[in-house]
Amino acid sequence: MLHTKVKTGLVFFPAFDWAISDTHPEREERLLYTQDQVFEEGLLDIEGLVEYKPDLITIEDIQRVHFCYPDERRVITESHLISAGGAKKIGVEVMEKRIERGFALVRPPGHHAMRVVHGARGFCNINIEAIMIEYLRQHYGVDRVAIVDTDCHHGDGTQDIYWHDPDTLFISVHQDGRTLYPGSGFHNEVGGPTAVGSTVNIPLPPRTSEEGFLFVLDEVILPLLAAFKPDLVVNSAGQDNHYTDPITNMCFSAQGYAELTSRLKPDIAVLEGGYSIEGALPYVNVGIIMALAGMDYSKVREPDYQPDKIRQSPDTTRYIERLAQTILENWQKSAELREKHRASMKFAKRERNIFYDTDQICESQREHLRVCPDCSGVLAIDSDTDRGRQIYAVHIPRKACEACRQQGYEWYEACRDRRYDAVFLQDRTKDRYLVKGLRR
Amino acid sequence: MNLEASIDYPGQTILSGPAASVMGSLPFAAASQETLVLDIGGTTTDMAILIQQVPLLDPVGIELSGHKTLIRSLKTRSIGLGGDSVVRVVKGDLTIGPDRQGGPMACGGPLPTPTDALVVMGKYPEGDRSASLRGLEPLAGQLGMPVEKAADRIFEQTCREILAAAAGMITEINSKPVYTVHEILEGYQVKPQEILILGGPAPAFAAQLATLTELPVRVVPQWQVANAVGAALAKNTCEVMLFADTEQGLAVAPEEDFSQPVKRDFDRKGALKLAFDLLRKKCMRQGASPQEVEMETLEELQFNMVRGFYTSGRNIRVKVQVKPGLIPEYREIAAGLFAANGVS
Repeated sequence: MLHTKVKTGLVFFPAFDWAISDTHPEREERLLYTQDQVFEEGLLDIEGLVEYKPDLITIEDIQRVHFCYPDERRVITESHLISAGGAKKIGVEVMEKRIERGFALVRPPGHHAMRVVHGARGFCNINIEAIMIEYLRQHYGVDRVAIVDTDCHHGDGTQDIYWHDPDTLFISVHQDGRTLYPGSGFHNEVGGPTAVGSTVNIPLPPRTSEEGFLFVLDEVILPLLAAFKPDLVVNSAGQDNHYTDPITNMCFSAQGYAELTSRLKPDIAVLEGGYSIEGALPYVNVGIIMALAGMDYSKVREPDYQPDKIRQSPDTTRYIERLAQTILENWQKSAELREKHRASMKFAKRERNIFYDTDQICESQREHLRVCPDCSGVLAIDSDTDRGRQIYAVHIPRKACEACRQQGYEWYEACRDRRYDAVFLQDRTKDRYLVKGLRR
Repeated sequence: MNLEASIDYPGQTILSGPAASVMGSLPFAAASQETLVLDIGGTTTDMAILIQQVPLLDPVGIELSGHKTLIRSLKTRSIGLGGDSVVRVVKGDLTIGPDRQGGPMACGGPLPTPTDALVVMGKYPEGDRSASLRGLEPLAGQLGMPVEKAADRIFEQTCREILAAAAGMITEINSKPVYTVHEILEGYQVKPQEILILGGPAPAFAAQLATLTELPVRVVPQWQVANAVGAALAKNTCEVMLFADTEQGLAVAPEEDFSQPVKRDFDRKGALKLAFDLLRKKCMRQGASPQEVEMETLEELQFNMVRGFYTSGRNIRVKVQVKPGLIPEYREIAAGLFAANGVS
């Protein structure tokens, strides 16, 4: 009888009856061969590997993280409640110490969903990791969390949600935004004025292979985690960086991902992207599961795996070495920058245009942050779309000081402008979520 | 299955004891409800679930003494708690079973059992009451209560533990992972609305169990022979799983040693037809008669296979089974048998 070294939980939710559309790559059979592989390799017969049914998240769980216009139910389908519920289930089982680590192999993904949600973007509607993390913070008192997003695309949604949160370290390693959707995630994106250094982006050039990924893991990610000392490490384990993935250009492998998981030792891993249904997903997922469980994964290999054919060029290696050095040097200056911001401004503005590719919506957003000396600061967001809708949303962070809290309520009460189709308040200190003046 | 077939498929006979009890209780279960069946024996209590008189099967194959198998069987749980389990007081706590060391002291056995408690309480007609008292008195002393109260305690705890184990089995059934949105949202949750009991001491246990649960508790008529009746009247049940790949142009049922070429337009309907055909033949080989072969679909899935940017074919998977239950001809006979004996 095979045993795991580490009691590991698995939620497996392939949503065989759900797809974005008939021709979309985020489709019913995406995890079919992965399920076959997991069953055929007998992974579920191993002692210490436990399979769970996903929970369902509630509307309140979404309100804790997002501002959805017109409301939560209109921007999601039931599959999203289950997908986020899968991540939540693993999180809860880890917190209850019934398992040491867990992997939520779920569809649909979530890391492109930002704080404000007008619809679907990047195949995502709600941010499944953020919803899980905030649930665990609310119900288990978890404080410092590190999210390591190894999906091939920049996790811009997760970055947005935690941009102003110094207690959440968001590290994303992805294919350089100059060459791939969503076109962001550059190393100068380091977090809001009161949270500088809590966002770290590592954009890698196309055709980076195992050496490159493992190099940044060892030289950048692991040292930052050691310095940050998180209560929980969450891995957004997207697998579209595989050498066979049809919509990206990287050269990662099952062996590489298993090695990465084995060194990173996340408490919770959540599936994100990955569209090579036969060539990649089955092998990478088996590799990740075995690595999480502390088992020997050396025999996990794709049938056409030839490491020499996919090796990165020496130029790429040198580029990545220089990049790593720059990122670390910048990161050392984070505390100093936060102080500088607090000393030099009372409020900070940020303006952005956001495109929802899946639902074809253009959003224009203006953020107004109180640069508070005592906490990360209350935030107001004014957002309008090319569908003629406009909303106003106030976010009071989890550890907001009393002054920021009151300011948040003042902004919310005072907002009576008829041009807004909805006015939202998210009070994380009291887990209270309000909306007024809603016009659908 | 018949004797000849069992020689060819001996593995299929494991755990047939508990299964026969379940089948024997079938005619008496409510036709439109979910039933928890408890077979309370000497050494063990075996439990199972009926859903509208159809027994629940184990989805992947039963586990025997911690060893996993792929042998299709009813979903049953056996616990080491029965009428003859040894009753002890360990560190001030009452423990019952899991071992059995001979019959109750009332019938000459060496150690006190729940049956002895029943005898002391006057709820069991046979046996030597003084022997039961001899066995229970020391336990009553350790528990610090009069012997009648101890007997009460022993019997109540036996019933509580049985109900707790049943609740655990039901929770396990309801937590089984499912893989489609539909099943998560509409997925069946088992919630028994009645309890059926069989086995030697069934009537005595029924009364006590009724006080511990809100559900109606009934005893299977002729409870001592329900197991044998069940073994005699149970239908053959088997399943077939068929895979088809229209890109390769092949349909396979590997467990049946079957494969057949198919055309590119082969679909779910064609797969089900093939599967039902194979199922009927398989069931007849195991000794069934044509009338008892009532078939149903367990799973039908169809996926597109994409190569590059083109749909190259369909991947179809179907699973069909013969609905478990009693041989149709004998359903009425069984009911008549019991009615003729003045039992309803």
